[in-house]
Amino acid sequence: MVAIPTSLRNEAPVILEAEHVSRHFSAGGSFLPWTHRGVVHAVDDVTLQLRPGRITALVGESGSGKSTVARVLARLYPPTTGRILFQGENVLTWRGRRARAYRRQVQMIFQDPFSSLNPVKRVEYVLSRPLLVHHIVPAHRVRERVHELLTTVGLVPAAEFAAKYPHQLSGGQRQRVAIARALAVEPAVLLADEPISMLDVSIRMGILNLMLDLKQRMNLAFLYITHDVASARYVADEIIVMYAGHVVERGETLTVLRAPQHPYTRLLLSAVPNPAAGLTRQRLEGRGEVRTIVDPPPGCRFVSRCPLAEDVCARTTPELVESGPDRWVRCHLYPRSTGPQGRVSHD
Amino acid sequence: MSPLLDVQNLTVDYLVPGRPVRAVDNVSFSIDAGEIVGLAGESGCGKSTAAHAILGILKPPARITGGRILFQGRDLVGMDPAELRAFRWRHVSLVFQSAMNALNPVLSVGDQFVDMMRAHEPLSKREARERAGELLQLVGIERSRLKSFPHELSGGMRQRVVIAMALALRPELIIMDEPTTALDVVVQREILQEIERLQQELGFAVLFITHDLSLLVEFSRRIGIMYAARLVEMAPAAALFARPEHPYTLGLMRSFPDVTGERVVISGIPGSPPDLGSPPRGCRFHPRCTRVMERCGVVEPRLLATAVDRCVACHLYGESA
Repeated sequence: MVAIPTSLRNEAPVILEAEHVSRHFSAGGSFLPWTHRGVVHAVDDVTLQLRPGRITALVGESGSGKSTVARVLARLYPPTTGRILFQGENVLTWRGRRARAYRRQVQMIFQDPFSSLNPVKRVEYVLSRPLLVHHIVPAHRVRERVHELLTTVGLVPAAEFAAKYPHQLSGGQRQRVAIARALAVEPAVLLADEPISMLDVSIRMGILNLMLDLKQRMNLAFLYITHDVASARYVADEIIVMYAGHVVERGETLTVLRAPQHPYTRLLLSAVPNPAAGLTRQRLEGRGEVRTIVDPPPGCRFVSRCPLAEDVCARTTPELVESGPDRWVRCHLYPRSTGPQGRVSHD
Repeated sequence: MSPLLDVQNLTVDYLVPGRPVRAVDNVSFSIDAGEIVGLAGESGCGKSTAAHAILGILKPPARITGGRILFQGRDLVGMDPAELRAFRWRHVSLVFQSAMNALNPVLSVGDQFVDMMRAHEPLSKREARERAGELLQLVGIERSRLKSFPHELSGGMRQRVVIAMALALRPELIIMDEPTTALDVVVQREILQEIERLQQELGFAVLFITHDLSLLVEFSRRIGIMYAARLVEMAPAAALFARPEHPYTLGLMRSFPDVTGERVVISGIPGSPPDLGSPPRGCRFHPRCTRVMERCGVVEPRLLATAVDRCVACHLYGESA
């Protein structure tokens, strides 16, 4: 059996960074103040760094804000507060040519490969468009490059796949075309939003292995968004756990999953199907409904489900504190003064 | 003792113009009273079609074209529609994948219970509502939620409501078609623990259909694996997990990374499931199989017993091996 190599932290400079990013949405109503129905805090105070050759997993349940983070990073919509830094520069001020260059550098892969490809165009067309639009290669080299891209994502013989329409491909093959299209413009960062959750189980591993392969061969920075902790463990170097718009825990994947600190991470791990553990394991401890993120009151957002909640948890929102080397947790059980370095994560 | 449900050589065709598509091909299995049996496979393998056939809710162009479905000795195939209507919910009920679609969005939860129960039993509205309240409490929802509309409930609560409805007439068998697939993993586990508790309390049998084999191994007593309309392996859950016999079963188990243990490269299964309109000859899995032999592309393997309680359809085992 081959072990999956993990990239060590800090070996490469940060390429893309979210700095205290929040994104709020109106919960409805018109511009008239009395129709106002509150503000949805989809993402609050998220800080993360992506580095070349590393896969960072953003894990959380539906509605936790993980897709919103990706969309803000891709500049599909602006953050309410906070900054997005690309190679240290604030991208939110970029317009025109620089904005286009940024969109080329940061590519997204979507969940549904059945709707993200144009059904009336052949694969060749789908892949040659970005090459031509962004002048990646001269026109006479486009076909050659398309074939190279198809080979890169494992669709061989390339000439055969280039001539096909999306409906002639399986879900896994379509997702590979979507990845090839993202790679066509030679990006530095790939944001993959649940890229395997709509695929058949037997072909999911193929896509995850392709991600590992691309990370190493092309030194890409990956953000892998998923609700599936097992797949995050499989591919990711670093894991960031989100709950109700907050980052609740962050650190090296194996460290976090071996000894989770936040009660939500523990709950999440205890809920993952695990045939080896069997049904003899203890029942879930977490109970109760998810707390609202519409005008959220102060306090920990997990308090309503937390088996370890104390009075303070309902009153004040815990900070994300460094609880160990390269490890952060947002929980009153880990006060900042008792962290091994006693250091706050963001100052 | 004869089994509660005995499916014998079930065959379902989608009679589309041109070429009929065989979605369930000669599938046989049985479920004992109070037993939890899992049916696993990828999308399009026929597992849901088989479940719908058992309930007699196949929609044209799908039709049962062969086999028998014996429930407590009575054949459900060819039963007249009125008889079948009385039979459903009372003896066999269904929990769908999407509770949102199973519930009527413009009726309160209470009204839906009352409608369903009064269609089957001579109850007053008041009695039906009383029973509905008890059922909600049974699945861990407050009685006051009878007044709620489906959109006012979370996904997990809606699924609990649907389970409560499936329990309403105390059926002997509940078919659950991907009941937790649309839910978050924590809610999924809560629902599974709930089903398990109720099953032990009330003693109904469950046919649990899912693509998630790792979940099934934990949850069910016996597991059937379907591939391209055929049942390829059937075994007790623990034995299947410890020693999968069919190469497809093994491949499926290798498609789920571990959450504990060593982090090693796993491969899934190369290729994709076949188009049922033109399935491969011989064993339908042979184009993707790592242990393929010459015979596999020619002769269709029969489902043969390899132990008292397990069987597999693969040329690596049985009479010719």
